[in-house]
Amino acid sequence: MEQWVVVTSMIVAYLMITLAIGLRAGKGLSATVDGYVAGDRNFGLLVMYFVTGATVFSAFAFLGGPGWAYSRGAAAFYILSYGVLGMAPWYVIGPKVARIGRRLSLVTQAQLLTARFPSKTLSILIAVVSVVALIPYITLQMKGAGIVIEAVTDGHVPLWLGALVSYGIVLVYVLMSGVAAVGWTNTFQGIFMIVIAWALGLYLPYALHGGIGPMFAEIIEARPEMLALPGLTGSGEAWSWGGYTSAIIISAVGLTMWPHIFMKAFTARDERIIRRTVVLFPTFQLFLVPVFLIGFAGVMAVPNLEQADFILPHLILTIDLPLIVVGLFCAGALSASMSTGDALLHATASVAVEDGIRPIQAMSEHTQRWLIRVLMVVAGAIAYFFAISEGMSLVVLLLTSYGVIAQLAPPIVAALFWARATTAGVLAGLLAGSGTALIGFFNPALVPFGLHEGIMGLLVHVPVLCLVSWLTAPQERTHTDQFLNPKPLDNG
Amino acid sequence: MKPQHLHRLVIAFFVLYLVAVTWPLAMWVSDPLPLIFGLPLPLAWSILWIVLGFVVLLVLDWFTERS
Repeated sequence: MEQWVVVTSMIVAYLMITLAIGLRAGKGLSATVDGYVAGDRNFGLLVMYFVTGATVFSAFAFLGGPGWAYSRGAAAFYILSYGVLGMAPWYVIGPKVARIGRRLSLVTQAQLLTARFPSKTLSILIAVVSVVALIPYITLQMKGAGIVIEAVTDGHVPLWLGALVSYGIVLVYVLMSGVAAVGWTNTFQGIFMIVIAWALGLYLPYALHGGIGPMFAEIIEARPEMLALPGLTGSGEAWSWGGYTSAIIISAVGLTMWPHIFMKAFTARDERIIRRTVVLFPTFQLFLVPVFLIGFAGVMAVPNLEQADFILPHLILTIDLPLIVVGLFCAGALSASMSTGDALLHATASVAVEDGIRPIQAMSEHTQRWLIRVLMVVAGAIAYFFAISEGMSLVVLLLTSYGVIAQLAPPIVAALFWARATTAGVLAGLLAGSGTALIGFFNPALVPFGLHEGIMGLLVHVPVLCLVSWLTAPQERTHTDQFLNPKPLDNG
Repeated sequence: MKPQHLHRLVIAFFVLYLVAVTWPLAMWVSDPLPLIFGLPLPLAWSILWIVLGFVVLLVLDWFTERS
């Protein structure tokens, strides 16, 4: 039997298992928006751990991580540095958000913000920002899945078909089971990703260089600049310290502000589970180490690969591995893509309905659930169109999105910790910060020291939020107390 | 230890973490040599801080659960 037929069979088997888990997950859930969007607030530690970890680590980590290590060397370490820094504040913020969410029946980030800062404009603004930021993210995941399948089947299953089938399956299980499907499939996929990443990350340096130490010794002798901080740019020049440092800061600030991650605070069974998830997150973060080792294994073995993101599939296919390993790698990469993609699709549609449409058009629970499903298909179709289109600079779009998403951090912190913050202050800050980030993106010459434009946005955002809040009438103490000092949950 | 004191220590640790992995402190570990357990110094440095972060979060959680 031909190699691509065997590998395709393994991919089909993997997709069928994922579909079965996703469909099974929805059994027993209530037929409410709470059940569909927040899983009846009943996720345990195991599911929360993998939902958080597998959602954060996407196709970008599985393909982009090795790609960055391969082409940009030490620059990739910024990805390793920001995760724990970004997740640690969630130890305090997450349980507080969950507590308020349960008391006020909230299921999205914008609902939390508009409960504290009543404003339809704010809700719609957050919905627009979130959806615009999430679509390129979904597209990247789809493209990642398509690339992997096309590569390991020698082009017999083209990118458009691979992306269509894998995300068709994602749509089916998320449409049927909502966030519960995201939770249980992520658990399965998370385990898969970790095992595959560690197995390949340890195996490839030995197979190609005789070990991890000898591999790095070879690179240092031939290309010492690769392994010195802050690493290289995409074109091979030295990256600036400003770029490296601000990438860590903006990514740490933005990490838990992504709606598909933030909203998981509303799904946890109790506050202790959220805290434990944060405590255990560093163990998931270490998953990036083998991912980087894979990329570094290719530096001397494959000196001139045109597309750095293809380094992992390229190594897999050129070093004559057993077919089962090729198939398992493909399943691992698909896991990384689908475990993030499903959460993104679900969050995009939920945010669009709950924050963008419901504030201006009242609707029943049944209609909301129905509309979320319809918009999930629409978001999937838009992302799919971009995924199969050539010439879209999606990574650039995604990095810009990070700068805009990070602008949600000051309003969230203000909502939970600052009594004097006002609706006008938050709106003004959000508009000023996002606007500055976008101006910086389109006019890089205005941003000094190679800083990320999102940092410039935050530097404008925070003073504007504070100043306008001080200049406008404060909120009632009884209102702010619900957010600053929410009463503990009975079971939390 | 009082919870407020512990929280301050934890915040101080994470500020230190941020300073340690960014400019200018990270310049001190920018050279790839020496290799630590076969890993270049900047990579080993990043891993060390993840492990330390894990330990600090474990301690924080242990105290939080007790209180």
